[in-house]
Amino acid sequence: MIKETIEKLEKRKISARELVTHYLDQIKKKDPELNAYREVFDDAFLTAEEIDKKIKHGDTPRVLEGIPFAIKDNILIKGKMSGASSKILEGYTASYDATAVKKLRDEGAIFLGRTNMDEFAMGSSTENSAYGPTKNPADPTRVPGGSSGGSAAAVAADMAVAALGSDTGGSIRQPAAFCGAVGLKPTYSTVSRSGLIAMASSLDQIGPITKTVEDAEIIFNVIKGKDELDATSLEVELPRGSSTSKTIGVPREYFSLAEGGKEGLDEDVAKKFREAIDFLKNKGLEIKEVSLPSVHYALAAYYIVMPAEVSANLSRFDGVRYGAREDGKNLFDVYAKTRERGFGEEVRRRIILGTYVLSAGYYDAYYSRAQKVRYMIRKDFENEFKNVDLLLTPTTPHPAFKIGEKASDPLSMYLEDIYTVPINLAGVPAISIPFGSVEKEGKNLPVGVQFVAPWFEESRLFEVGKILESK
Amino acid sequence: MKIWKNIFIRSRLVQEIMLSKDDIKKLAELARIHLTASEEEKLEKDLSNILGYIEKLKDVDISNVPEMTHATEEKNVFRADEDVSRDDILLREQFPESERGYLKVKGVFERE
Repeated sequence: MIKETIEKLEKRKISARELVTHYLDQIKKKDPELNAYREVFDDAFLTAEEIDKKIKHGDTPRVLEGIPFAIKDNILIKGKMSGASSKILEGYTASYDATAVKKLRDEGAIFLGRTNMDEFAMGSSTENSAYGPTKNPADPTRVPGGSSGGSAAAVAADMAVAALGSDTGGSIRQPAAFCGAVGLKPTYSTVSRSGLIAMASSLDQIGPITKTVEDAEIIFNVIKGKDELDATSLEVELPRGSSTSKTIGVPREYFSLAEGGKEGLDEDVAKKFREAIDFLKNKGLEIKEVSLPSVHYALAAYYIVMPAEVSANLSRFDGVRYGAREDGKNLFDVYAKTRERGFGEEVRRRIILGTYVLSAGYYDAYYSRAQKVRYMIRKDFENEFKNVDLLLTPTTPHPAFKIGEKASDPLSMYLEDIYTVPINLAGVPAISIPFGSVEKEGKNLPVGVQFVAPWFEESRLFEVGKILESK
Repeated sequence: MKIWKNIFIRSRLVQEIMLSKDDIKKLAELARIHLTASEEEKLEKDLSNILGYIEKLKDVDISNVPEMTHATEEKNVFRADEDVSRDDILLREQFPESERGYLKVKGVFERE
């Protein structure tokens, strides 16, 4: 999609202005119903005109020249409002570009707008946005997934060529699967987190949501790399050329991850997953059953590590330096009232939970134990990657659910991420790729499958992803 | 200091984790979030559920397992202690309240 578009630009079959017009028209037509965008920028045409001038002048187009992007509302764009879909950041304007945004900009990308999300990326349905839920383009009575639901819906409904999202426990892959898009969570530390509004810093990664695997690859190659502004970022020499994968492991635990009878694998999704396995077998890949025994504990460990980091990261939102401020009789009162009015229910819940697991006397029982379990999960992946080149799992246990269906029960919403969370804990890269759809109540709902690769082996994901996509 | 006096929340060894309303009040104070009575009640229930789920970690044998502190091989990074601040005009524009270019906040100490 990106390559073809740039070819057309270069041959002047289409102008950047026409591209922007097309996507803004789509937004005007579809977004009143879908609510994928929080804001559509008014300067996309200005950038487009500059690009058209350069092309007219005979300049060689850059890697993303003229490509219209949607950016999740927790990734900063200098001079634009940015709010992580939270009331507490109402009126906040970013004073710098996130490194990933700067890299896109330097390659000629055009930013159409910022997309809706679960507040501070906490949620799996985009219902936790302070600005109303986003709807799934395949069936607007259903959620698009989350937390990058706006970005996934924008790409799936052709309201952008590609989007950036962020993934802490599945927030790129799950909405990509629900909406029928490709979603990549890169290896932890390959993409700079500078300018990403932090949720849980040891898990957060920025990644692309796209229409094709090739597009995800192109964008990943643009945004990756060491950055002085993120001390955890690494310069990675990614393996070049064909790394032809031969064996794919299917972890047996993924089929027994039912929690209290709540989240067993949906039968139709299981059928699609078996189809994907058969397809890959026919393409000459060997499929092996493997075991990740500790993943049974992944979600429980995640719900200690993540809220602990959340409670620390979100202490900066206190109404003092930016965003909304509520008045109070003293400084404590200003903090407490600002954070009461500014944060939504789920954000408050996770901050309090994080405060609890970190309180004195509880470190060993919770945080330390969770970090040890996290080590065991990482080891499980390490062990199996000695036997297989990649892992394959369903991305989600079921297709998109109805808006409101899980809103009143936080635990059932948390279980949404049961297939994606272990990957963030281990830090490995994974990609969700659309694989057909299942019919529910007369609607065809997209299904995704997830490939997982060893650390820094994104190229394997792209390679096998393209094979699966060819179906 | 009233805030720190109650930081220790009594420990429980039972599987069923039940938080009391007082626990929630203390946590909210530590987290600097004001809660209404009905929110306290709801949180009490929600957190007890979540903590009940997390209890399954107690089944894992973690003897001789180290804590994982980094997802990838990381080394400490140092840089020279130089001012690298960026454009601060936009930063200052974000101040909810300012006086003569300075950020203005409520006093920490109150007059008798």
